[in-house]
Amino acid sequence: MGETWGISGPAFLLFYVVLAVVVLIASIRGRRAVTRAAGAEPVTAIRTRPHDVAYLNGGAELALVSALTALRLRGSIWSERGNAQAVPRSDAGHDELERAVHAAVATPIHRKWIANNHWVADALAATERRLVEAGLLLSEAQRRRIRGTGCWMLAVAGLGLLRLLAGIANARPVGWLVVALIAVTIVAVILLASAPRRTQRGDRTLAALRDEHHTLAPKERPDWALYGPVGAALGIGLFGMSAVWASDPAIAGELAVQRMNATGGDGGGYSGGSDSGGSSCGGGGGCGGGGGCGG
Amino acid sequence: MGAPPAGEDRAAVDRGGSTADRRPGGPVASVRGTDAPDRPFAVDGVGVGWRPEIAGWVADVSDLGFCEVIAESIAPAGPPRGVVDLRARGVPVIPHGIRLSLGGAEPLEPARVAQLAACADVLGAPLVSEHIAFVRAGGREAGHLLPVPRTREALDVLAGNVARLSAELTVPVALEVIAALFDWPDDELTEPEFLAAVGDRTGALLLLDVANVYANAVNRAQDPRVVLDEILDLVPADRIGYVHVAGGSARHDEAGYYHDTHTDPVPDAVLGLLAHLVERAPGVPVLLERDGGYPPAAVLTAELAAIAEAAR
Repeated sequence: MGETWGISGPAFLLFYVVLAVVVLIASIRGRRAVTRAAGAEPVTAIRTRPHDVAYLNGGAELALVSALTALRLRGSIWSERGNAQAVPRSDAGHDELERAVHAAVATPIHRKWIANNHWVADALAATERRLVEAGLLLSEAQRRRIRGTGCWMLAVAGLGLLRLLAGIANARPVGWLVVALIAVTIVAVILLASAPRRTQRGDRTLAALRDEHHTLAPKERPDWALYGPVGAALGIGLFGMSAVWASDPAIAGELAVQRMNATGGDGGGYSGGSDSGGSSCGGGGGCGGGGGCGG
Repeated sequence: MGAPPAGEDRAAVDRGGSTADRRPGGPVASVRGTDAPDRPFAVDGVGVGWRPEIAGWVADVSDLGFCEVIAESIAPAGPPRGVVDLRARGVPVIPHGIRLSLGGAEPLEPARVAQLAACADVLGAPLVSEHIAFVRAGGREAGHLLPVPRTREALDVLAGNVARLSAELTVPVALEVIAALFDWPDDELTEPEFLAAVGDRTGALLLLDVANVYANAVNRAQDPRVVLDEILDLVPADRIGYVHVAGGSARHDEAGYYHDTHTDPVPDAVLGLLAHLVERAPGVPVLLERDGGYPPAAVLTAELAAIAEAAR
């Protein structure tokens, strides 16, 4: 009985592992090329839009907490147990998101549902657009391209599977190949499922602004009466939910803000921002046929 | 602004020595020595008590003359970044001790003395300050600055403790007059006499808190301006290290005492007292202490401007 495909088991396994490593390196480089396409120069001018900073750091939820906190500090809303309600005839301010939130809470509503309001959804979508255009957030197309790099690894897994089936048919030992195949498959799934939200420029912008506004970090317990609603919103935007607990536990309780939160980190964690895309290859596009490795 | 009359033997001061072995009442070594003969005070202008909660505002104060930090809140190995930034800008920072208990009958805790000295070193401070007060006795912490009896015995205690502190320092000490809500029954001296005697016995500068002078006078049913004049009659202007200003309010309690809260605006009466002080001691450095109840930044900036105006 000859070697499967005329290649010995150990020789194929070595080739396979080398191939997987080469493809992994290529995938990481491909992903990086997308996150770095916008350049590395921080866009610190977004400090004038603190809710944009919050959206960049922690997405819609953090942007809404920063908008609600600004409104609450201005006396334009009441809040209790996570529910917010506009104070009648109060000032909605000039900020687009704050105005939308103020309108959305004309009747009491829990902050978790505020994003469903169409004015708020529009304002959040506009925020996302601005951040994508500024090269701070990845567009959905860019994130698809990033997840698409997982297809190369999926092709490697496919090759391994063919060899495995051929090897079994040839009654050859396949134990190590199974181990390699499982490892390659896991890596492929991770690559297919995950894409960061921010570009390198987005990460550097947050880092630069955290450094510039270090006096707003939770560990300093910055006084929000002194810094005002804009300073408070910027503190939340840069340092996450823990900023609310540090500076105004009463508001944190009223808005039912989690005490610990991954986004922004406790005391200014510089998380790389690699959240799960929540979407597998199915929505990913470009994957059909498993790429060019199939032959 | 005229410089107050200088002691004729100032130039002879050994700037490197401690104040411990200096004769009582003699001049105190300070940065005002040979390198800055025209500057009557160790610091200049208007300052602010640095607090982490307002660090961003302090950093933006224009023409900030100097700052003060609570010594006990600083780790000498790694001072807060806001303080380091101020030092890098050349803003003098004075460590202000609050827990040393210089007026206490118990021995000073060496660790606390070392901490204050280390703060002064790491900050390159022109002087350090503490209070004419005690904060613990018999193993109990008061949590407050308590007044010492204005007696000769208390002067001995203070002189001994200040000498032990000064032995660890390379810069002068300024001692602050506190706001006291009561007086001991066995007081032998008036407050102005006592402050002058403290300066004479310890060789320390006076940290003249006009808000505390005001509070004490009001609560003792005295005229604050008369008391301030008495102090200035007995303590030469060049023995004033710097001046504190702070807010307070009269509580609507039974006694109706005025409390030195540091969380209220500075009353006009205190600003008036400051203006009077500056008339008699031109150019004296003034520092605003605020420890909470912060107003919006613009309001605090305006309060600081009012202080600068009164101190001009």
